[in-house]
Amino acid sequence: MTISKSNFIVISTVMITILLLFQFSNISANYVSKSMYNQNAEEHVSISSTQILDREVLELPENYNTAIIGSPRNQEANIAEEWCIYTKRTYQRFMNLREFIANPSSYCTMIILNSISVCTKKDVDILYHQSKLGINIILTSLPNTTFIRSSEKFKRLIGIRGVYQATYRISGMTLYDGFLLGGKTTYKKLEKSVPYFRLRSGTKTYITGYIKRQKELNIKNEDLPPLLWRNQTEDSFVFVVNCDFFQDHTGLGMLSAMLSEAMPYNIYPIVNAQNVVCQNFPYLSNENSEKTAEHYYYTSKALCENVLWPDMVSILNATEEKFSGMIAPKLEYSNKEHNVSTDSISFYFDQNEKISGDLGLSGDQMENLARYEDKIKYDTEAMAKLAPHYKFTVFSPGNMPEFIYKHYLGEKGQDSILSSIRTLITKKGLDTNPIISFYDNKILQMTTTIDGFSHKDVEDLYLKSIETALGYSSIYLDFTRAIYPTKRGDDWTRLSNNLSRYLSTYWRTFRKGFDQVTVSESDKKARRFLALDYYSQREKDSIQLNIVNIKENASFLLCLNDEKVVSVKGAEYIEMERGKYVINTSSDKVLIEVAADAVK
Amino acid sequence: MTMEVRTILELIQMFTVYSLCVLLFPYIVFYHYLKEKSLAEKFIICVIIGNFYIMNVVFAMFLLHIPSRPMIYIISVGPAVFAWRQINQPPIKRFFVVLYTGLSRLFLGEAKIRTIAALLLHRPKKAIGNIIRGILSHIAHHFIEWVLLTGLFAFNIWYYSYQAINNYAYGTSDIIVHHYWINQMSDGNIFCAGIYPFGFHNVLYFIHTFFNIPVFSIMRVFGTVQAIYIYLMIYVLLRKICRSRYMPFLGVLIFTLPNLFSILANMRYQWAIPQEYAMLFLYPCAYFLIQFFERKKLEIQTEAEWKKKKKLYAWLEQYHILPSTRSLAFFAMSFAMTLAVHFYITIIAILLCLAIAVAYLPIVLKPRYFWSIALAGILSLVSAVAPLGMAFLQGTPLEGSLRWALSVMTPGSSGETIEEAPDDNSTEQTGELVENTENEVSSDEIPSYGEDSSEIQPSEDTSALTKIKTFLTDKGKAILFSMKSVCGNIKTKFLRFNETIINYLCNGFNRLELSKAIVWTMEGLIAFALLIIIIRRKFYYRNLLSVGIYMLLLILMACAEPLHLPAPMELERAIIFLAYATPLLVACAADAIYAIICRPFRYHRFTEILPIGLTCTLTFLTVKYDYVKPLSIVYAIQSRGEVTCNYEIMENYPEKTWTIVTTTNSIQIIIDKGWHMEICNFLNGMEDYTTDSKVTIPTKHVFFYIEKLPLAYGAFAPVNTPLANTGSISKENAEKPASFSGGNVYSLENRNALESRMYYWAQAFQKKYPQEFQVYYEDESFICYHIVQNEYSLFNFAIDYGYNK
Repeated sequence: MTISKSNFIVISTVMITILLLFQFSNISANYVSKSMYNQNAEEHVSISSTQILDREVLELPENYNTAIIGSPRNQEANIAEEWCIYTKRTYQRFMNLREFIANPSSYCTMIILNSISVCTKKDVDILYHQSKLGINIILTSLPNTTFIRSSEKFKRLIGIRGVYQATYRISGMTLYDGFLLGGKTTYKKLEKSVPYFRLRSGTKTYITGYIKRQKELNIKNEDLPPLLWRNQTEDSFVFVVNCDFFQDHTGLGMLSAMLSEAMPYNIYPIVNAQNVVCQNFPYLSNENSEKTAEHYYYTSKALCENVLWPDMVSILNATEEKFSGMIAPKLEYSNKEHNVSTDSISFYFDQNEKISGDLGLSGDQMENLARYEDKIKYDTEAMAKLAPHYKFTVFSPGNMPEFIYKHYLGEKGQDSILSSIRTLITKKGLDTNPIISFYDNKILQMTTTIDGFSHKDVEDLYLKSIETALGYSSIYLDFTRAIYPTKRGDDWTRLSNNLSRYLSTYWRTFRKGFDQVTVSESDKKARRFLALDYYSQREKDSIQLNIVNIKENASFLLCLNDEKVVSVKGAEYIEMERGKYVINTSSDKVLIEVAADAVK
Repeated sequence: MTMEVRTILELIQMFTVYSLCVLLFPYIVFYHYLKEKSLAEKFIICVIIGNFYIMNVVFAMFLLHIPSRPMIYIISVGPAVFAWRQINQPPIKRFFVVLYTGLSRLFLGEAKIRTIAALLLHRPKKAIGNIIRGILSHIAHHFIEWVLLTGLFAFNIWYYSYQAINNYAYGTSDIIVHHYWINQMSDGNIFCAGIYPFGFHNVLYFIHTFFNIPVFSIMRVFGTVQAIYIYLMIYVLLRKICRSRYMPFLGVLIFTLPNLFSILANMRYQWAIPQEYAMLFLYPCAYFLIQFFERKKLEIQTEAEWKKKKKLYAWLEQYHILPSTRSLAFFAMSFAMTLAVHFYITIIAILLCLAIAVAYLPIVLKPRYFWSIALAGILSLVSAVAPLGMAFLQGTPLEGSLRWALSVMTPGSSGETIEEAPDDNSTEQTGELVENTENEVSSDEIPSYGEDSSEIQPSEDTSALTKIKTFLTDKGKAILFSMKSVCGNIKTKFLRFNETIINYLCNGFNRLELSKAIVWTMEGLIAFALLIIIIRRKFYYRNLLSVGIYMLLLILMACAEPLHLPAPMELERAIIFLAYATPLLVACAADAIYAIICRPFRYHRFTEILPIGLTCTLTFLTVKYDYVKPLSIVYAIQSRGEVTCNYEIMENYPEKTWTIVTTTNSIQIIIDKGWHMEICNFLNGMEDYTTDSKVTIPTKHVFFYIEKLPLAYGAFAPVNTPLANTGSISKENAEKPASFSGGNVYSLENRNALESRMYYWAQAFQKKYPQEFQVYYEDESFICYHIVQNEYSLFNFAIDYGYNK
């Protein structure tokens, strides 16, 4: 069979046209690409520290809403103060209860205090009196059992029949449904030593100890060691924490949950942001290739581009998380052999644009402390040369000490790569730092909440609590573990398996209601969260929410007791769990209609 | 959905389901036998077969110890299908041949599926069309009858469902016991409280299991359904007896509309209880016995004719079973069912049969009649007693009420005589009065022959003829006096008897005039029927006589005490049967008059204007003079709120995840779905409160039922007024010492004390758990609280609520 000339021409033309059409889309994409520009880089920040409701605004010597008893060095009181700032509650701090009595507020509805503040019978009398006035009391820790045994009044106040054992070793704990977001969870590997109390009737337990040999010891569920409970006095609630939850931010969400339990409804602002921070990824150099080749049969560059990147994209796609990569241009700055690869830059920046990710800068390097200064200088030069138009706005110092990077941040940094930074992502660890706060006037500091490659019981409880308080989580993935493997657990196959597993299970509840965003988007949400103020009132089945201070959208968590949201005007709502709703406002006035909802 | 709407829907559902079971299914199975019969006969046969089948299927299943839902489907549907196949011989083979051919053609592409479907559905479609046409044609031809029936039954449905629709709860405590027994059957345990006639329970259990309808839904509305069927039986029997087609409506009307009887006579029909259910089978006994006499007579005549023609074999060839034997079989079934459902109805059925037997003397004594009836009686007894006997042999003891019933029926023993004490005295006084009057009358009125004879002195001068004449005159006079004295005596005794029963029947009928009228009608009917039977030995008059004698026997039974006769049952129950027989008596009496008046017109159709006019006039007068019977009464068993909550909770909460804390009565209703805790146990758990007191309930949901107006348990009130109560709960009542156990724990003051305490407990508990302890339902007399518990850490409900130290 022969093909005629005319047919040949037609076929060839069609083929060329198709080829051109396909290539055109690619060429045009490259042509309009803005991958080498940071879309989030703005001249001015939307909200600076001067616009937010911070300690200066909310701490009122008179007419305060919440009394926090505890010295400035007291961690439990600091957590309570941080919670007041997040929930926009006016508060006042007192050294002790006598000081509080001397400065009463007619608006006070809650006292938050800890074991140190209750040490005399006089203190108990004050608390007893305050409870009769209808003021809710939160005891973030309990005084020693000798004191409790001696004071019948205190026992009555906190709702215990007696001290069963002064110290009891529990193998874990059970967090009951309806208190923190995430539902009922039993933590079997969370050993603690706590006093063992027996509760009176009229109490409600939210967290109890888990005893492995419960059946053998013939302990009924109701008689398990209570760790967090509520007692109802004649006119108010007394919440009692019999564990060290308030030694870190785990107590933050518990305070919100307690408030929700004490009120017919509770609405409070949240950040509504879930992000994943990939520390030291993308990695732009090719160091440690011998080891990676030994471990993975890949050079480090190839490993990152051909293994880590596709894996990460598929995991994040599957869980609908957004990518926030903290670029590590190099990890060994003494090594002059391997420099930043231009190919890598264009590859990652292009790929990042395709998945609408966010790129920031990592502060890590694998050498000694002295190299951090070199790193900043090298990074500044290298990136100015290879990606001159890209302004870095996110910086994750990682292990870099603050005293090093603080000189380069903002205007002080002059031409440094860190001078344009607006968001500082700090690693979880220092519990004295707030979760979200302003580092300086323009830079917002956010702390990561959990290591994405691990999920221990204590981390899960922490995560649930922060999600309840702020609707915020920041998953920290340190890729130096994969590029510089030191033990079996650092193998990427294991790490990626764990990451995939954890993301698809533990975050499922939160993903339902909270937004998956990049770090830059989280920054914007967090700024709005810190700046906004609100007030709400309820008339019958209508809750009116008014938002002040910001014009942009905001997010709230609404907690109802045996009620459900029927309709919302001025906002959208998502039911996270029974009686827990995320309200995403689109107007400064929101009207929420609720109705009775029977538990089935 | 409101409870009212729900109840109406349940009523419709129940009516449909029961009618399917006892009307439609038997009709389909016995279509071949029934197709030629009248609608009334079809109805009565289907009801008897349907009920008899269901009762015995359930008995068989339980006595074989294989009770389960699949089994009930197998052993009820299987034999029915077999019987249907045998009786109607449907062309099943042909159906499958057509199906096979059709499918073959379908696969071969020779026909479309529509063609094959049309071919297969041709006969069923035709049958359905015929049925619809038949119904419409029947309504068109009997339009007035249908209108009258519809009107009467609409009133009865309204009247007897009023309590269920408006008060929601069971109207009497008996129902709870029967509900418990049916629940026990669901657990595979028949005769749970000992051997008892379980026919009623079998039928309800069958409906519950077969159609998956909750027992409480059945029990709440089944009373109305059975009442309608009971009323229909009056109509059907009167259609059998009366000459006039429309006279039965008068009978039904008498029992429906006017306020003739005491409240005791009607009130029980609104409830689903066995005695009333058994009444459904009372009149069918009479129906089939009368039918037996008619058919037997005809058969004997026909047999004689064919014998004469020497073609008896040809006549016998056309029957497997002779029609009279069939009637007797149905009679046996009906009689057996009275025994299988309630023994009291058997007593009445015996009286009814006795009345018919007396009326059919001497026919009944003829061997061909007598032995057939005797055999039927024995078979019916055996079929009714056999399941009970088998259970007894399997080791089940007798139920307590059977002994009680026997003790009531035994003369000289007392069943429930406490309430009757005043009546006894009055009866005794009346008795004495009767005796005194009798003495007085006898001394006043009985002529003395001696005195008369002393007045007539024979003369010595009279001739022999005169002597004879005088002798004869004297003797004649003496006989005359003697006869006169006997007649006078009889008359006096009769009048006294009349007076006694009329006075005593005032307990059952609303007015003295009414009881007089009933007694005189009865006597008149008996006298008339006897007189006519002497002249014309027609079965019609024998039937009238049967009704008269039946009424007489019932009156004698009701008036057993003043007449010093053995009383098989107490007056309260006898009144029910007396009232139920009254429409028969009145309709038969009226029909007798109709028969006399309209005979010259050969009962032409236009003569029916008399009964129609009579019925309409009576209705008009009843309404005009406001003599319509008032609404019935209801016992305070459960509040409306409690029933509403039971329904809501059962529908909306998962099974066995909830507990209700309440008095005893809801336990049987919710037992399959949830848990129950007694208020007395709940409160007792925290009595003498210390911090160590503990009351926990291990379910996620707990509901607390509290009566704000505690019911006066067992007290009755008119159905359209609030339930009888013991007054509002109060602190004073809560302070009173309360009993937490014993038979009267929920009676009167103690109930109020417990409910008051419960209320103040709830108030105190709500203070402790304001978010969790919510009001679930509240009305003016009832409140229900709801709490959701963490099943892993239960609430301790024991608190100091101020009245438990």
